[in-house]
Amino acid sequence: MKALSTLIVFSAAAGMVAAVYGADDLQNASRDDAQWLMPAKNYAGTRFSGLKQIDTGNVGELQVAWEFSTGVLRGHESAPLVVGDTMYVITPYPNFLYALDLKEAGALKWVYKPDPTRAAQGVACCDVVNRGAAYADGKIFLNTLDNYTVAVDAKSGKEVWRTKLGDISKGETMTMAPLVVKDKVLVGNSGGEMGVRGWLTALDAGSGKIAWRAYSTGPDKDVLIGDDFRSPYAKGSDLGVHTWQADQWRTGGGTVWGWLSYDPDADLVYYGTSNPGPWNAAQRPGDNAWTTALFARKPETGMAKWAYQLNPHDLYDYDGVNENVLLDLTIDGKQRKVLAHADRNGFMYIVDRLTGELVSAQPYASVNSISRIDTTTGRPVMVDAKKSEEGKMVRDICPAASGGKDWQPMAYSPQTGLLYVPHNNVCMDMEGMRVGYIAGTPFVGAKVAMKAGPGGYRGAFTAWDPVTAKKVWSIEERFPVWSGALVTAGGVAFYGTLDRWFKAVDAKTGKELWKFRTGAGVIGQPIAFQGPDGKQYVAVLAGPGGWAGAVVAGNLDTKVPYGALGFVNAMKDLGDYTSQGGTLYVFALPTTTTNQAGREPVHQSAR
Amino acid sequence: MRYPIFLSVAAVCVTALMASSASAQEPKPTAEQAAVDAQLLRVPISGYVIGGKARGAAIANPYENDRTALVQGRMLFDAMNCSGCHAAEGGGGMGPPLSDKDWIYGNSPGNIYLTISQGRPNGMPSFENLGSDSIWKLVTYVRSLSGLHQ
Repeated sequence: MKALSTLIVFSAAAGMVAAVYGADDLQNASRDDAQWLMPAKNYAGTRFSGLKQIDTGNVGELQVAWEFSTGVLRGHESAPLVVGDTMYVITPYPNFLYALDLKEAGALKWVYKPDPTRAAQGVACCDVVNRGAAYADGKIFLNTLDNYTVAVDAKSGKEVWRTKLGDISKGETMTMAPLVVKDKVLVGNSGGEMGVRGWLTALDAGSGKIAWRAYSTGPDKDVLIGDDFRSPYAKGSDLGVHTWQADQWRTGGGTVWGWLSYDPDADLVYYGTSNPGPWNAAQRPGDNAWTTALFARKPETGMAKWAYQLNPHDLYDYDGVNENVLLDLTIDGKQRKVLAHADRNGFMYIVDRLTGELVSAQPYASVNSISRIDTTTGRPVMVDAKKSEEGKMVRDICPAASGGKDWQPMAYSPQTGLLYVPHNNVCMDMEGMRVGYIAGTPFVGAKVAMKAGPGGYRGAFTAWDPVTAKKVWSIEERFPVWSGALVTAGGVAFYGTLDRWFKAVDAKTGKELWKFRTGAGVIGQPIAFQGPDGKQYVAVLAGPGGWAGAVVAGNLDTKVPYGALGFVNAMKDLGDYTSQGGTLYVFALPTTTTNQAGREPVHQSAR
Repeated sequence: MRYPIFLSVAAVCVTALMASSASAQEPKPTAEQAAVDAQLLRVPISGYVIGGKARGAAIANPYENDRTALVQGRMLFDAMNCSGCHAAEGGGGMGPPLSDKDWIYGNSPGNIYLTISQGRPNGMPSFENLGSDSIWKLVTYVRSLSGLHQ
């Protein structure tokens, strides 16, 4: 932690130069609300901006300051980054990285093109998305769909190093956003639908050399489980082998395609692992450790401190990869260091992040597949009538495979004490089918048709109190809310919808304060920053796709219910609301109504 | 090999089939087969030809209108995990739909045969090792998904 206060003062000043932070300074640097250095804003993953120029009183006047077309048509899930006076935007495949000049209303500084192999598109389960890049130490780190982690010089756009981490012919891709901790870049693989063996890998930020790799399945030596490991709900060694039949763990999933967070005090990195493969659970008797599990690891060595398998012997593709938001809360009169995790299974888990013990788990979405989470065993209590089976179509399972919530990350405001959860209200019919493993092809074995959940709407934006474990308010949406959430000190929460709205709501009440009609559906992660002109901006990428939007992104056939692993059946009408297309929108208040009087309107300074 | 021990019967058959057709002992193509291969490479794909008419001609599927081949093709479609990418009934997902009217690489039996056999650069793998007989059966099934002549 060196001389950070100086750097922050510099960067908050107008006309700043791009600051160079050492990777170990990120914790402090991320407190600077002028910038947005990692997709989740900070290590705790709160997506909270302390900026308050835009507030509940004036957000209704928000207007477009400038736009940027990405030239890519697939699903845009990423968060822009802001470092000094430059914004960085990464696109879905072919993973262009654009640098835009904030002093010149988004003038293009450079574009870096990593040229991923075209064939990678055929291996990505759920659109060819990318969830963001990360900044540290003068470099932008990104993952390509064809399994390279790349470091790019933030100033020049020149490639510094690239390291190959996986193999598309084994079904591997990379779609997640890296997290930089100290001198390491942490990345994970995708391919839980392809019989991929999941891992988290640490690379040296300076050289790109692989420091360690922690598999999610297999013997303890591969999972990096040693003497310091404690699992509150599972006993025994080599569970990553013994909870499978024969060597099924080798093709058993547990990929790491979601979010990482980090607690510098505990020095632990947190993340979750994906579903087991194949979806057809009849083919893989046992608990299938450590799929659908939360892990806490030491960043230096990768050694696991604890793990908690959320959905042992998963029946429904309930991945455990959703974000873990790190919060210090007073629960039942006790100070607790917890993580909040809205699982695919529809329950909001509050977990002691030092021990991995469950504090509470209550449903935040419509659930009929699980009656409750047993606080003694940590396990879901399954509802027999809804258990998926081979050769039998089980009707109306809630939530669907896409979960109460999928990847779309929630935000937390320390002002309101609430989590802002973008999520789904989707159920499914599911039939397990025998499937053989053929490397590089899907290993799913299920026929799925999804549909709207109870109430007929398909998505919601919900404010949740993590202390009382209760819903505070909820806004129903036509389609799954597949965008990330942002909340600011101005008391405003932001999210986007697949039917082409970007919305601002009152963080206390959920009252809609403003909405903007985007060119295409929004599934990106909104951010806030302060420009070189001292004004607050809010930015988001539009461009529908991802699993929910695959019907539009991939031009799928709406006459067949089973497309996109069954999501098409629930999204047949998406094409009536949006077409394809990636555009970045940057919003600001009009000059005349803020304390910026006398300044040139930003949109007129474009060259 | 890392095949899980619980393989379906169909997958076992296909695995055996792949192994035999991919083996080094594969006999040299007959003159007849060589002629078919040469013909396949000249199957027209778009009708847009410079300097006169296309010199190749559409090639007939030996299993056209064959009900047994249609059923076998459907089994192969699941067993080879075609349905994993293109979805049950060909609605599409990781791969494009096969049940609609949009054919990126052509819809004639010869076009579809070559797409399956060679693979395509945007993510379609090559299934050359399946052997021509199985590929033609898949062609029969794939064309039926959009109501094309089987």
